[in-house]
Amino acid sequence: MQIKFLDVSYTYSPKTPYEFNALKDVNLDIKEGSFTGIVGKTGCGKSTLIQHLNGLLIPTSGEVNVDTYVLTTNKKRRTKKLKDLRKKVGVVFQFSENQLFEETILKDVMFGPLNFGAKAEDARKISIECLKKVGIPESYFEKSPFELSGGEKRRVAIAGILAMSPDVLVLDEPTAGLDPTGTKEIMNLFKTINEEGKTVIFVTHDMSLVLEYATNVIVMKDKEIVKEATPAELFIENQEEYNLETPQISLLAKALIDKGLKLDLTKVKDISSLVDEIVKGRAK
Amino acid sequence: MARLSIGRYVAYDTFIHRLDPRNKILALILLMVAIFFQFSTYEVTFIVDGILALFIFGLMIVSKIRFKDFIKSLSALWFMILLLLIINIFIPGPNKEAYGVAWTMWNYDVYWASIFQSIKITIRLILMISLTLILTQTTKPLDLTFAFEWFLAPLKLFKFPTHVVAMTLSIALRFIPTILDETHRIMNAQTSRGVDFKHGKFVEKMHAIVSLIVPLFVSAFERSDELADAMEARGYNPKGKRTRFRKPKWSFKDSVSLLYVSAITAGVVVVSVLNLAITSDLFFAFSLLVEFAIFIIFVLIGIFYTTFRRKV
Ligand SMILES: Nc1ncnc2c1ncn2[C@@H]1O[C@H](COP(=O)(O)OP(=O)(O)OP(=O)(O)O)[C@@H](O)[C@H]1O
Ligand SMILES: [Mg+2]
Repeated sequence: MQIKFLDVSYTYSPKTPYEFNALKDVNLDIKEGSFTGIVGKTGCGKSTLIQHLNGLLIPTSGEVNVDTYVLTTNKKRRTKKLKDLRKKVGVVFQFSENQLFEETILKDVMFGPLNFGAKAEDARKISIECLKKVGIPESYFEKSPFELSGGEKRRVAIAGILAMSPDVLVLDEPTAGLDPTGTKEIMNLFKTINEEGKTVIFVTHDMSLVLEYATNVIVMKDKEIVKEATPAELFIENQEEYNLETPQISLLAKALIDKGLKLDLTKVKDISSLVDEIVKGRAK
Repeated sequence: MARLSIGRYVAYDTFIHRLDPRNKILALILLMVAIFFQFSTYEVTFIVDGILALFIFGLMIVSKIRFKDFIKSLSALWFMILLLLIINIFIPGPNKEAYGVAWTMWNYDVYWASIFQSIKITIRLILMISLTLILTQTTKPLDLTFAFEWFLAPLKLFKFPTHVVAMTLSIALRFIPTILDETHRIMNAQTSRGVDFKHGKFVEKMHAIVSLIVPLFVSAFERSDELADAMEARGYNPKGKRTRFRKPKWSFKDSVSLLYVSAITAGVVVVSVLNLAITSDLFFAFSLLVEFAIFIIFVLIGIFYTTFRRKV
């Protein structure tokens, strides 16, 4: 599924005193099968951008194309039925832990697939599968979602979207509030899903996750997209101007290079790849 | 958020916005009295209601209320209007024949009086809703509770906890926008999971609403727990003496506008009394003339006052 933004602007509550322009002339191209990270300072419009992907927000001007769906204010061009789009693009929201409502966790995860017309038996099967994938033990399935901790709720919410088997998975700060192991587990899950051929788009403030997992990164600043690059390209340059933090691993690698070691910075993604590079560099 | 903004404070800076909240509440009560006054004939009723409607719509224009918001706030009314009409047509009342038969339906006489009655109540409901819309869109919730507490002050003599009640009220008002935002967020999340809040059969709609209400309640309870803890942690004592950061000030323009509104209400009362006493056409014209004269005089005073103030 090809995703394209053409000169997209979005204004909240237009023509009122609360009018607020949150996106300005955004042009964007997200390739099918990519693992794209979206980064930028708090309030720069990341969540606003993401809500355009499944038609929750319609651009005030410009156009969003997702596959064959057209989101625009132009009445002739726009797609009328957005429900199919919402099945294909699954969005996990920033505060997804407060979308749970059913009596049991399993029922809550089944809610999505059932809404999109799955048979009860199939919905059950895929929900159990997805709950296991996100690391919720079977003994929890019949518990009330309100008994869970914040991080567990987040996992259940993610399972709720995975169970819809979307082609594009969109995650707004999926790891906020998870412990370091939990973060790793969940990111590895997204990586697996991405390797199955699905597009994954995620918003994060954690640059080391971007470096380790993303194939592409979009940097936003003050309502606009200021850079599209691969993580390696982004962190090799001086990205201070975008107010981003450099991942520890990149800093370490840069320090080693300064001390005379020969490393290929584009290959450094995490500890193991850094070690590989160091070994290679010394062998030369 | 834009969809759910009816009845919310809108931060313009108009004449109405700047009035003292106590004044606005008093004026609201006065105008409500005027709206619900009874007259013996429908002719007078519609003329007086028409004058009041002109005045109230004038207020709406002055306070920059969007026509869209006004229409939306009436959307719950259509059903009531229909119900009123049906009830009025089928319930027998005194003097129904006075205005004759409008039409006959399957041997059943539908009287003009029933239709007039429904129209009258509809007009009055619309006017009442417009007034509350003006009040809530032009007055900050905190100012409203200030006025509320101020009016309750005499009850302090009887050890009534006015401050606690006012605090509860202002917290409730303070959280309306927050809860509206939350509603919007949860609706977004559930829409992403395939819920359709707009279309669908009754059962589907019920399920959609459950998927919104349950998380909303859970988060509201959690929020109130957290707020109580936070207030206690900062030493909040409901019995303590408190001061206010912002105190509305009663000014000269408040007195004038309140006088103006009182005159309108007084006029309506006079018309009603005269109208009920003698239903002679001459008197009628006279009383309306008096009302109109009072109206004009105060419009002039109002205009003079506002222009005069601006120059100073
Ligand atoms: N419903 C709304 N109505 C009006 N303004 C809004 C609304 N939602 C967001 N905004 C404003 O739009 C801007 C962008 O918000 P957005 O939620 O997209 O930021 P973000 O980049 O996701 O930030 P964060 O990293 O904190 O999640 C913010 O300044 C915010 O105040
Ligand atoms: Mg956000």
